[in-house]
Amino acid sequence: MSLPDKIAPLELATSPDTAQAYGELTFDFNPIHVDPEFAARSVFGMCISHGTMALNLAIEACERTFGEGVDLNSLKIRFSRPMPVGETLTAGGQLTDPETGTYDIWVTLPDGTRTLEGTITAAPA
Amino acid sequence: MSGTDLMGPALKDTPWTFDDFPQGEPMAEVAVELNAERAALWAGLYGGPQAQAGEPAPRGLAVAAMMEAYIRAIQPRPPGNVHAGQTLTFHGRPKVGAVLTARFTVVKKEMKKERRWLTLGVEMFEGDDKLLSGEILSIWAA
Repeated sequence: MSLPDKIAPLELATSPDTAQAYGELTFDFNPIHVDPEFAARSVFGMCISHGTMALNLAIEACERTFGEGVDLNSLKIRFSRPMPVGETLTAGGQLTDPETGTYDIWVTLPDGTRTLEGTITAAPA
Repeated sequence: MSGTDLMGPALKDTPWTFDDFPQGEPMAEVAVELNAERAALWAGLYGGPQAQAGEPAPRGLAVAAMMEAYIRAIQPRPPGNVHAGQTLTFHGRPKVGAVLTARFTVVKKEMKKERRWLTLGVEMFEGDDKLLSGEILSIWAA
């Protein structure tokens, strides 16, 4: 099976509820994510989404694109910008090296700002 | 939401500082169950059908479990830590209901531009089978 050229975009509309749910999923109740009063006094000035919420959106986008025919093998990413709670995140990716199964992947805010970027490798299952 | 502590998390009476981390050494081990509650939370966030007990779990669910283990493994923490980057290699795919054990090792400590860069290695196992490995890159706050 050949590798798909693109990772199909996948969106997640963040909100205080999604921040709370992701906190429950990961045991991460850092007030910067879930406490508006605390977050207002922080350098961000507002609640920001968990970084791995975006990472997992990217992983989920890859898995849905690949289905059963392709395995996600590895990834290397950096969290490049904070993501205000309330923004819609969109994950996507592009195959850059078919021989090694390398894709550029990203998560963006609605204005196109990349909040996460990096690479993954994948191979036929 | 809870896991089962094994050899245990690294707990202190005061928040972990950069200087406290023992470079090059294993420092904590925490177990997390990929239970139905966790699968339901995942489906609620990311959509799609909820994986049932015994079915393959989304890889991201293992990543979320890794983050819970990471949070629980090192307590208490100073406020203001930043998760700056992540590498991961997926060696296998767990099933819903599996109990995953995460082991953390201090890979690297580095001061750059007055920031405390901390790299923790993580490996997750189901029994003897390694499912996931990688490095968590953080800027430690204190």
